[in-house]
Amino acid sequence: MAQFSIPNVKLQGVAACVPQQEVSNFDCALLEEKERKLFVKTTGIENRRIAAKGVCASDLCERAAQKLITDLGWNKNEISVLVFVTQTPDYITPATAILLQEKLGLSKSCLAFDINLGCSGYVYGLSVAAAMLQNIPNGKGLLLVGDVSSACISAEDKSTVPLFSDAGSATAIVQDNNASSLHFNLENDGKGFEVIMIPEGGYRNPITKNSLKMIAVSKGISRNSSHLILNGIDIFNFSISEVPKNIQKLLQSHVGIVPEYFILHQANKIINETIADTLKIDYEKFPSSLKNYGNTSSASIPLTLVTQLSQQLKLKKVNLLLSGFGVGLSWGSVLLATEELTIPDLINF
Amino acid sequence: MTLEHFINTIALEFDEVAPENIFPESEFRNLEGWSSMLSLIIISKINKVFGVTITSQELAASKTIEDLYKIALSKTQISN
Repeated sequence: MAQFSIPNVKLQGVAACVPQQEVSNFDCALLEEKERKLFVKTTGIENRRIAAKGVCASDLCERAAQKLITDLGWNKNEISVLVFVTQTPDYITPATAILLQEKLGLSKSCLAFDINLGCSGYVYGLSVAAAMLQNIPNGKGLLLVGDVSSACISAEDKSTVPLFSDAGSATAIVQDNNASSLHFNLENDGKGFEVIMIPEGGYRNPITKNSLKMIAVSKGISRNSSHLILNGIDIFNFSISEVPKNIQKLLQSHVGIVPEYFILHQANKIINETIADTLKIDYEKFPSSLKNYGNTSSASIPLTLVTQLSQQLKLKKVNLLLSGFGVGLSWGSVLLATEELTIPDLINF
Repeated sequence: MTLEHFINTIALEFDEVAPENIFPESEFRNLEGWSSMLSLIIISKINKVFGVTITSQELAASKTIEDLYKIALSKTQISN
């Protein structure tokens, strides 16, 4: 079981960036009017942000990172770790983190690489960046996390279009011998790899002419094999059964730490309410950015911190439980304390 | 878990069908208001009230309300 703690590392700031273009699910042509109301009531998602054609997750993350570096007053030459978590990289190869190292003007001695994870990616990325930084005295690192999911779903698929939204984020992490430890519980289950997937376009099933052939799956759902497939019921069942257990184990291992807020991946309201219910914790302690930003994949946790908790996080010490879960299947939680974070206002791209 | 309790629980989620018009033999996909979103709501309600999960394959293999009840009942008995 991947339960572990990382000492001597702390978060120093978080920034998030979303595309300017906002669309409302009340105008979603794929849903009938009655369906729209039911959809919004069940998922909690009213509005979404959609990246313009050609805008990548790295562009949103770059903007967030530039602002955060400026606000922190960091010297770019001192940044020694850059981890980019995404499922929508600029290219299949090379890794986008290396392009970001150059675009951000970071030193060649800053190590940079990508992690291919979705909704659990922020927590996993934090564990990787923190593990590297803990042994670099006074080290500074950037965790950039984001996705433009709108680019990989079919515009004719009502099971994905009204859910997904685009966002990028940057998190500043520093080595500090006085920092409280970060406590992780990370898990995964490859049996569920087909629950959320893009079937063709990798090397197991390369793109062919047939990959782009649109198929009517059911009423309101047409897509091709290069589009994202999401099995909503199995994702629901996985989330409500595995995530509470994962969180409970972590809390039981660190009974002295009581989180003030639980920041879950923003999949949809019905999942997050059920998780809160199972944990027997008041839903008030689960801030949500679903209403205006939808499911922003890997960026949903930092986006929620920036849009819902910024005032508290800037002013005082706060114990948080962050939990991401989804594609893989992959899930994980981290228990951490933040203190007077630097958080720029949400950036519009 | 009785069949009656099960039907009453599910019936509450159908806004467009009177509860007295939902029977064990009712084919849920043919009931007014059925949608993929409603299926998620019902799966969630079954989980909340009876503590069992219905998978997408089990849902796909079911036709009637009673089919769903039998799956839920068998899972309750396993967990007991």
